[in-house]
Amino acid sequence: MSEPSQTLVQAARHNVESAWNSLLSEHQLALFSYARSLTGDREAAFDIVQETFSRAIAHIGGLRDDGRFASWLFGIAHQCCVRHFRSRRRRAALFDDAPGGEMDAIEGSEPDPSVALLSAERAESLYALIDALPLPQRSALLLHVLGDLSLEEIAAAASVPVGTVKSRLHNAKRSLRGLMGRSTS
Amino acid sequence: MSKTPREWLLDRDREALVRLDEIRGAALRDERATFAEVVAEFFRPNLPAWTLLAAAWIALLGAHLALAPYAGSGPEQAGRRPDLANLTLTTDETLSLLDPRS
Repeated sequence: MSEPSQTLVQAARHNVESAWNSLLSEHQLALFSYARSLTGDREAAFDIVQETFSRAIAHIGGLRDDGRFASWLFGIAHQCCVRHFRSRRRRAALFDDAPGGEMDAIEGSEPDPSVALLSAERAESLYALIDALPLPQRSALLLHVLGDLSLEEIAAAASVPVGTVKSRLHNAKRSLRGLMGRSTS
Repeated sequence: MSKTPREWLLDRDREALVRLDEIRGAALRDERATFAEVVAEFFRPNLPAWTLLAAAWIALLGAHLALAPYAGSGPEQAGRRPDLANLTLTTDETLSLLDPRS
């Protein structure tokens, strides 16, 4: 993170509104894009961004390193996404009419990439190809690209080992290459 | 001009910026209101109890001001002096009761 941003974070710690405004403004679109790509739901993504803002403002004291504000913020957004999947799964269990496996995917086990490969055969754009990636890979890739997070920061945000993040990123890039090859052929 | 992958991804959602600005503004407004809300939330659950307590304190303050010996020295205070004398006498009597030699 650049020096001016660290100054902003320090000001935000003292509840300087203009500092918060600048910081949140700088990251809001990337946060939304991350949440929307992960959930596939625009309204849910807006809710997640709102919750992320509120939690960030309330818990800025928990940020240990001012230089890692962005990764800390994306970590909050990631946790909000996980909560979204949890509540969706609870609702699905209540009404028993919707699938609810996304949280399992984002939190741990890797779903079969071939499912994404098959559905992506009809994809027309890079966006659709990314959306077709399995959730853990999509999450790692988007945190890396949108949030500019390092491997360690992604691992911290997703509560997984660094090796798992490496593997997910590698698989995501490989899958994308394959998907792009199939969609252009 | 070529774009980075990040820019490509952000471009997809750029139309959401207006609403995101509103959400950010609302979050910051909420933060401004937090202190007042905390104070309100502290008192609201037991408002009758807090009201009674406040009334009791006001009554005590009024009694304290009315009974204080230096509350006033003007002619209008003269009528209160017998009461103060009685109060002193009562205190003396109380002390004498506590004295084991009495």
